[in-house]
Amino acid sequence: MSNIRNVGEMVESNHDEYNRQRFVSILRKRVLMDFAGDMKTIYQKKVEPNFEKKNGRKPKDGREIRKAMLHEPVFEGWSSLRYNAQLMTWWSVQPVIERSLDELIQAAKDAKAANPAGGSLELNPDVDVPRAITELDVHLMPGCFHTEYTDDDVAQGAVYHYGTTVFSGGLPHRRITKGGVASSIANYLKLAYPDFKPERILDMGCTAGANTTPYKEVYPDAEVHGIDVGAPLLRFGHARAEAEGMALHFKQANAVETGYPDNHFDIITSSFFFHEVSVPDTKKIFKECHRILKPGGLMLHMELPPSDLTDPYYNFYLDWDAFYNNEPHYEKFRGLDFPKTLAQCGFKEDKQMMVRIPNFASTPPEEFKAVATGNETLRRDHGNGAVWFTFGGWK
Amino acid sequence: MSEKSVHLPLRSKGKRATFYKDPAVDQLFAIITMLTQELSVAFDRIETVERILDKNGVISRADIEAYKPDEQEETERTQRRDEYIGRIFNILRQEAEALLDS
Repeated sequence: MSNIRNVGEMVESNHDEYNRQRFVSILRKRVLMDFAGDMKTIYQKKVEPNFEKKNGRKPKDGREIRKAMLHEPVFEGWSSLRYNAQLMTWWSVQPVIERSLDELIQAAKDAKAANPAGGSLELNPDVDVPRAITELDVHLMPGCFHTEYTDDDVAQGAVYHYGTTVFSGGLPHRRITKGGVASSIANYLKLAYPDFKPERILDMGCTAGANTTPYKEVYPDAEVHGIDVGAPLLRFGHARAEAEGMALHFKQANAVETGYPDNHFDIITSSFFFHEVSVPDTKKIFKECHRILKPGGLMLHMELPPSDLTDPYYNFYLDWDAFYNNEPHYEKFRGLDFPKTLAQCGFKEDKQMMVRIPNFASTPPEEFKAVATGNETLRRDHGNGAVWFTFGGWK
Repeated sequence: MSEKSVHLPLRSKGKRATFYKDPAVDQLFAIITMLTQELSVAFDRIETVERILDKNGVISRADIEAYKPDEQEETERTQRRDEYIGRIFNILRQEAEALLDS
């Protein structure tokens, strides 16, 4: 047993800091659940009928709905609240992280030196951090994924780790555990393909590793890797994994050019990654996945569903982030023809996979198993959070 | 507690979004939302003081800083915060309510 302090648990908010964080979590729940319902009601009862009266048809896509909604008081108020809650998420954890930063950095260095679980951390300061990340603070998180303020810095890893806990802390289906996406995908694959025994797994855009860890839990014999461009996230993720006894291999790399050999991985995955990547880079990454995937291996990424699979109102709702959450590629990514794009990048149409996976932690085990083994297709919205949209293909 | 070696920025890189014709309204909205949070935090602090007073009959800052609500208390606090947000932002809901009534 190691006695390394766990960077993921050691930050101690004081009384008021803790209660600021709790306020933001519940404010976000209100905004995303109740107030969002009101906005939809106003759209259905007022905005859409008015549009139909004027144009003789319903709006054809999310863009048209956005135009009709833009100056509705409910949209202005809802957006303002959501935008401020997003900023306040990060602000609510920054003070305690500033105060604890020296200790966090020390704990991460201790974890690296002792490396008790046997994982690894490989940093490359020359890695090409894409403009998508350097020009805008994604998710409005000040400092984004990559900024380093001091030597061996873990600050942004901590802001992301503790901030995302606040971010999801009021949502009933997200409260149970971190890494909900990966634990859903990994458990699904294990049930759906019991003979598939992956030896090596890669998580792309792994941030601080919350969605990398579950692959090691579900496939303990596999070698599990995570890559990201953000060094503070990787230092933090590695330190947390080592303290928790999880052997994970973190490497600073851009997913367009990973540096791994051909035919190397059995599973390549990611969670909420591609909508932050430009479309040209997305295609390069699919090709890179195909190159480093073993024949018979599976690429399966979790993302928001493409806009041709969801209705215009839902597209208007989801694409809010593209306009206001510093995720400018979000709408273009969702607008891609997924089967065609995957085929262009080497994943043949008859080997492609598109499946909605129930959230493992909040779905009764029998229901989860029925979906995994019976190939039932669920049609619940992503926004309700109980289901994750995944796509990819076998090589 | 160590001396802060780093100051993390509060401003996010990129253009700040505006939702109203007059950006002053956006600024006001941000201020009001923060005020709402601080008021919620003040309630939390008062509640903590009350509970500690009730338990010990003595006020101690260290006790307040170290206080963590148990699961039951946290559930009650969550419900109160939730209702509070509903009251403060009720104006945003009224149009939908009226449409549902009509």
